[in-house]
Amino acid sequence: MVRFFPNFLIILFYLSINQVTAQTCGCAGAPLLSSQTITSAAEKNLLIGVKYQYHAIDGLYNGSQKLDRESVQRNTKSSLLELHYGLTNRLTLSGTFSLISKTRTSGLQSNNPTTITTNGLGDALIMLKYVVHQNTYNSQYQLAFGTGFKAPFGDFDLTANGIQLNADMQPGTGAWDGFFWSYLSKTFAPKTSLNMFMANSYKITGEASRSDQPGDVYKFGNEFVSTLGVGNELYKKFSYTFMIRYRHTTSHKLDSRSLANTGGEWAYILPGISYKFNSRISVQLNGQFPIYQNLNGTQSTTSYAADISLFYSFNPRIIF
Amino acid sequence: MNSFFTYIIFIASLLAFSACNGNTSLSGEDEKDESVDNDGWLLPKNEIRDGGVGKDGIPSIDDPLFVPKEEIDFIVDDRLVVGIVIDGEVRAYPHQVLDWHEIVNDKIGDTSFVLSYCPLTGTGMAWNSEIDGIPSEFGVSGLLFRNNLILYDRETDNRWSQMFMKSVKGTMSGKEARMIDVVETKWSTWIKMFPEADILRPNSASTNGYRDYAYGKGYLTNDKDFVFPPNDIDQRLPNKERVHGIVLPSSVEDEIPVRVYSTSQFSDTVTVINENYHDYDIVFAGNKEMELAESFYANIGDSTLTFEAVQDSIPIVMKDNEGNRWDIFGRAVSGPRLGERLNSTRSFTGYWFAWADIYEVGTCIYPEVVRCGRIDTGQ
Repeated sequence: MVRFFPNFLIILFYLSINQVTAQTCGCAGAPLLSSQTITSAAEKNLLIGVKYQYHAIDGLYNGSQKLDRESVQRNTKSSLLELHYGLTNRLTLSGTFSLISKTRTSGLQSNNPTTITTNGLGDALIMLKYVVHQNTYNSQYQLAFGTGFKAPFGDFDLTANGIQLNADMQPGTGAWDGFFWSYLSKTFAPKTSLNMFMANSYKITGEASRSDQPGDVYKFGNEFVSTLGVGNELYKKFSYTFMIRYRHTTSHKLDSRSLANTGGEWAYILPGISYKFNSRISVQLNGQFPIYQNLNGTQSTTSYAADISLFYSFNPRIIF
Repeated sequence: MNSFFTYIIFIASLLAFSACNGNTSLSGEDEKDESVDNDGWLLPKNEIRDGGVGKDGIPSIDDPLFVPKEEIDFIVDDRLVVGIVIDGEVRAYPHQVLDWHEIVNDKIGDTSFVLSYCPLTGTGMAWNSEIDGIPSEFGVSGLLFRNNLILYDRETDNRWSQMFMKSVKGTMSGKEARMIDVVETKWSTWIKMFPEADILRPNSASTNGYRDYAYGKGYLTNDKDFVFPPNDIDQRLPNKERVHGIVLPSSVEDEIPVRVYSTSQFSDTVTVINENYHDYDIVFAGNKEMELAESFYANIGDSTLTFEAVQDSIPIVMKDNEGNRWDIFGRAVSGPRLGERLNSTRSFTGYWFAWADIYEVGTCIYPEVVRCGRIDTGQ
């Protein structure tokens, strides 16, 4: 038992900071749901996380075939603030707020590339998570479900030279989205501190009228994301995660008509490493690299993403 | 709990302070004064769209590579090519390449020209790229007007509307392009007509990325498939029917007369139409099966010729009352006017919805003359 408890505490620490769930990359690399790193918070505990993510979107694909005529590079920089408050030991209210910066550089093949950058408040995610089964020594798995909505706080009508930019250059989507989320993890103490987990989410997107032009009603595609991962201690206060993620989005719609060159399916690997300074503060670094994509038509897509997160727990304690 | 609310207020204040107002910045392009009404555009600015890829985000071909048809293995028989002939030199530009580049800056002899193709409106055309004696290259501006390509020239940075065939913003605003006649037809027809022609090939080593469709195969024929919704649908013809239109001179800017020929109403043989429309003598030649459509002014010198169809002799498509035989580029290939060429109309072929959306009330479909009113859905 003496040996068991340290391992188990480490596992619980994983459960509190390492459960990356799903990706909402429907707005050109601005993540919200994917940023959810906390499964649950203990009653009356507030967890705060800040995250900076860089998303490089410069691979041009037709279906699953990479094309060699890239002329546009994009990136999205997201600064996210996560708040998680334990209403009870099983029920957690989460809010994620974002600042988004998107850059598009076109004409890479020319001597005079053009760069447009948009900055602004992004959309916000409000989520309620319920832990159906908490991880205990005698029953070492955790099962949680969640639901919530994405509120259109962000700008979605920014212009360049007075001409409204495309939807994928806007910090926000302008639409209310709803989503469902589930999470399952399994530990194997005291034999090992290894933690396996799986998270799934499904997002139903809403429509947004972007201008007074007839038919200018945009809808990002619905999205399903499934993530399978493992985590373990690495060395002293270091630990790691390794995840494989599958993502599928339907085509975007304009005026209820499906748009070509939107939607598709992707698979990524996501290695991550974290360091726990003390019981209150931890830092985490993650990468995301595509290993497969089969896109509808021809699209620019993620070449890599990286993020760094810092978490602070105001009242650290273990739930069970 | 007090501390909890303190934190919430702190964070909310931070967010509100730092980023309540979104903004945009540009580099590599002059920022324009957005407060100026319509900002110098000849088009309604609120209908100009960001196409999503930015300026030169679709790369023009500035150093085109041509090969004989024997070296082409990626073009499908029923896909279209845009052909041009200058000083007897014949070249073809496959839609399969133009889909991904939209603009080719080219030169034959002393004639520099830009050949452009808009996949959304299905319109291909060419014009002289020397403007006021200044040679220029053109590129994709990244902007669209009612789905149609807006080009820019790299010398003066003017914006040029493809389907209006003129500068619509900049120092040359209103200046019309000097058109060069092009012919569009199926690849299978083209190689029968001009087997010796040079064919545009992508500069990349592989042509695999050119076998597909820029906006999906369905976009070519699905009448409900648009990238940006048209202002109004005109139900006189199916939206994606490819029609040939002639833009006639007009003194009234808002009512440019456009004569439209729908090849689908003709047979699979060559059809020739002689008519006087808006006081212009016009001859139209088309073939439904070949997706071939061309038009010329019927006047040459002081004579007004009358034409009739020639079958089974492509590229020769018509003969006239003087005994001349003419090919699809309007060149007399036999007869007393051998070597002469008919004057081209300002015309091109494209999807009907685009013609109706761009030129609105001016479009009049053959054979209608007096009842040319559009039939709107008002969608």
